[in-house]
Amino acid sequence: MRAPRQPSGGGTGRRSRSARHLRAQLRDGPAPARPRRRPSSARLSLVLLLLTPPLLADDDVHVEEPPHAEADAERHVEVRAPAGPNPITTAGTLTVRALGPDAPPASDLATVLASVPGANVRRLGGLGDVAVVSLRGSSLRQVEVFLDGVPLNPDGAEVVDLSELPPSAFSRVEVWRGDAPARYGAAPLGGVIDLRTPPPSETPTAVGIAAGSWSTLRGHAVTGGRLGKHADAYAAGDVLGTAGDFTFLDDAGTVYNRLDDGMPRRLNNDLFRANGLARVNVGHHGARLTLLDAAAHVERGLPGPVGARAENARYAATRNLLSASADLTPGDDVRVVPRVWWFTRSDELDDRMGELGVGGEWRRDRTATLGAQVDTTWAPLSWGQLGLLTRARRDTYTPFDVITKATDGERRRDALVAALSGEARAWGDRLLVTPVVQVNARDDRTLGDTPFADTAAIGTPRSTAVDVLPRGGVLVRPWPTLAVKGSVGRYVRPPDLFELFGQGGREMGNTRLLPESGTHWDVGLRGVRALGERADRVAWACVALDLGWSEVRAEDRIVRVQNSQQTTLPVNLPSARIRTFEAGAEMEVLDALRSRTSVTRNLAENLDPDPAYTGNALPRLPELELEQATSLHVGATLELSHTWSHAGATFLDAANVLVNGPRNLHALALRARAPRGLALSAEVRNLFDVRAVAVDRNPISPTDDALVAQPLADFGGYPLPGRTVMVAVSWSGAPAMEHP
Amino acid sequence: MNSLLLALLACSTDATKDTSTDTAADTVDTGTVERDPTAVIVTSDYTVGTLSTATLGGAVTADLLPVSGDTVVVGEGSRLFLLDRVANVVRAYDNGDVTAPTWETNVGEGANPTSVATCGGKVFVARYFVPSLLVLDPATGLSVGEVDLSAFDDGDGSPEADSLVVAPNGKLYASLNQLDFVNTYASADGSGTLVEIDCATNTVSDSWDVGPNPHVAAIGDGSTLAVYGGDYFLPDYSGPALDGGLWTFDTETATLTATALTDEAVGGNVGNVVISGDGKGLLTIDDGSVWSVACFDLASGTTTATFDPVAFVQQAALAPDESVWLVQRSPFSGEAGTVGTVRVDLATCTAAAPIATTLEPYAVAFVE
Repeated sequence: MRAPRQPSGGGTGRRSRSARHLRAQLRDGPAPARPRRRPSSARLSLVLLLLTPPLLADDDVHVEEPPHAEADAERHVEVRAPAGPNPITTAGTLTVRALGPDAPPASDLATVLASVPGANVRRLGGLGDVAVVSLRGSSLRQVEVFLDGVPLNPDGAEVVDLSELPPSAFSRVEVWRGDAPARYGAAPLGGVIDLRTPPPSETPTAVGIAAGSWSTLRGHAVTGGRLGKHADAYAAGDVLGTAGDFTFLDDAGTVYNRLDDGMPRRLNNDLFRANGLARVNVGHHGARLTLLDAAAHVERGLPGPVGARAENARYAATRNLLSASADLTPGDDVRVVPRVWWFTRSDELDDRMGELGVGGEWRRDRTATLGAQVDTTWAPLSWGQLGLLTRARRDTYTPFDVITKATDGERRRDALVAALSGEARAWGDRLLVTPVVQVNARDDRTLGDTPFADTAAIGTPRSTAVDVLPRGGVLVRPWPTLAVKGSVGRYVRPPDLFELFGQGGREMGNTRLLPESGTHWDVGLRGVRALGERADRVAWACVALDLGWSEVRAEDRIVRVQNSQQTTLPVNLPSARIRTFEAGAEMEVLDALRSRTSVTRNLAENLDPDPAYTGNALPRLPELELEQATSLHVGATLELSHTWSHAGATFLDAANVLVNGPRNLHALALRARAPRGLALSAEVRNLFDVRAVAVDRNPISPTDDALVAQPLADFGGYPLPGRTVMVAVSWSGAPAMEHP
Repeated sequence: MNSLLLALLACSTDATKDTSTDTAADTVDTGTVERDPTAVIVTSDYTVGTLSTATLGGAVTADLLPVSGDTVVVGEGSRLFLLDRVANVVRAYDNGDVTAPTWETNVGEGANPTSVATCGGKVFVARYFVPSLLVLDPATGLSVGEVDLSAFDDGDGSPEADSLVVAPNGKLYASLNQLDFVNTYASADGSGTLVEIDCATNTVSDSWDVGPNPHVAAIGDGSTLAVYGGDYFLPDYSGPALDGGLWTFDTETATLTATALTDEAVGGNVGNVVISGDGKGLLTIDDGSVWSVACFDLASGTTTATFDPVAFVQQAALAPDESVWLVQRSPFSGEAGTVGTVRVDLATCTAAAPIATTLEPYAVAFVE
């Protein structure tokens, strides 16, 4: 009997090691306390470490596993190198990026995700401003975000604002593009983002404070340690405040008239955000209980787009996630992980002046999810195992009009998920097959009546539905240096309660929405090569290359369209096809130079039968995105890194009339480590202070080739800041976490 | 860096097109040349729009220029005014050339320009959310004054100036909707106001209480005005508010006269009134979700024929050949309908096949 393995594709920090540490491991040999099967040669060791899917890993890979001496010895390497080459899996393409308290001071989670191939981050401003992510051309709600495996937006309910999630509290982020492992119980068309807290043995003690442009201040503190023989604790806090009053190009809406252009300050863009996270593990190997609570509060101004600036509108949100889970191994071949969680969120929008929408409003809406799941894995055979995840969930949404004291009452949706997964290995573990059948059921009978007296309620509300979602993946490693994979699956996302019933600012609900669904397939390969390696000499360079191709066919895609009152309404778009080519390359030379490049090419095609839209590109998805990061290291004391990110021009609308210009941004970061754990770091984002881009004045004219200046922006009308400088000083009581 | 970019862009713009229009143009020489009247059609999907042109026969030159999703146009002889209600920008185009404006100016953030008219050698701009008319130099578009309307504020900060008409007496007439934009979105006190403006002094010279939510349009040469409107919904949104209709206003005698064409008489909200010089007219009737069209004779105050466009009629405009162009869009309820710009022969009250555009039509005006 074999002990159960992590369910399919479970990317872990242990698989995320940099080439430097992989080479160091080759040089120094394996850790003495590492009780695992070893490849026969150092070269094979390197290759396998890069190529082997996590489910082929040894038994102690899961970060939630109980601490013990052997695992600690193994993880000591991991904590130093959480951001290396990515594991390849049978499921969707996985990229792991390091987070932690040593992140560059002007960076945030959106900055990190922007470096992931296939990820398209859209910002509504600078540090602390709203930032959201799309994966492989998905809509924003087709990306589900998890915190240590607990969903923050189940079924894509709400778009998760990445700016609310501090990178300092987490050790890494796993980005699953396309198919996500069955253990998530999710079926998003875009993918899954899982923020992971550090495992018990890797919890650093660190504090830091940073200050910089736009009156920005941020601070963080993390600590952790053992509480007796069978318990450990981890806590993290993060505070960010900023005036956000950067200057931006305002052309006053007059593209032909340059005389009235100006550079005003962004007003009502201030932000205060506080996050806290605490985790306690109790137990021992075989039976461990984990309690986790993650709370956040944010207050911010809502500045509105350029041309419709709001100087009084405010927004506040408070959320809390309380989770309890156990990790049980009742037998040698069985592992059971039960979990319950309660997620609450309160959103308050105060636009009594009516600056954002038509008429004044002041709303305080509450959303909540109560969930329970059991994840069981059973490995009765040496060549395969089975997994069963069952989940029950209740989502509620309670809108409240503060002005009129009116509420529509609690709207409720119950959902069940059952996912049966398997994995089978053959050909000396060089062939791996992982089929999954997931069944999603939802009960919308208690959603409630439509709040809009003049809108007929037809479509899905007040109904039940069951969706069968088969998917699976295959991984083949014909040679140690090459792995080829593919996956295919079907996905469904019902409209969330806000999309159905929401009323806020410039967003309204639509009770006639249908669930969006689609199929997704991808193929990919990874190659790794160690250069200059001989039997008596370690390699002087390591190179890893990832290539991937994916295609999504989405039906009834839910998109927001604007009505005559400049209020957006979600509607079903009949059909769309998104093909994505992703390439990633990582290289390390002589312990001194590291380079990482990611390229994404999106071919997104609107298949709406309306001739005004058919064949058009999907809005706000650049055809080409590129990020190149290079860092120089002088021993362990000095690190200088440069990042260049390019995003091609995008259309702002489905008719492909308005263009958002391309952008090229550079960032520079310097980090100097001093003795006793002190470190000084500085980061400059938007190094060349780009605040305008050139676009065609008349993009639909074949003869007018004049250019006009347009504010630098991700979203039309929401400018990005110019050069932003942040300086930080920090202290760490644990080995510093390295960053790409 | 940015200065350099802007400089480069400036050079690029100037180098590639001499027709690029700085606001500092010295003169307005519209150089009126005899040409066939042209319809300028704004299309929109509410998110974005384009400007297209069409002959009166319906031959379309589509998608010449991108515009915002909420843009309206006003024709005055050979001059076309474009009012971008998203960017709050007014542009003036001359001589049928819609590729580059003579001037372009921002009329105030959040102002929402609704109409424009040239009177006394000045351009007056009605702004829905500002309690004044903006007065511009017709040659440059630069602001030269305002007409204070704050005395007509209904309590929400603006009297909601809606439409403008210049009468042969040299006065400018503006309809003030006076809607309560804080609470009800209906008329604040059950009535609206028609104001007369002295274009020489930029002041209100007279005003009259008219029906709720009024709009004004010229009949013939404009010596008589059509005043029409009414609240849209009952306070509880249970149905149309049948409190409006059509009135005429004699600018010489300052007399407001009710017609028999009331909301109650036609069975729905009266809107989009167009009346030719010979007193033949067209209006739309709707209950908020279903639209129909009625032709009428102003002298008798009776409808002569009706037909159902089965679509949302955004606007009706009188063409130089006395036909009426209906801007028909998909209804909000999502049902299929006749979408496009539809020409109606007032004499027979019959509609021709719709003129198709890439996006649905949103507004139309005519220039010579």
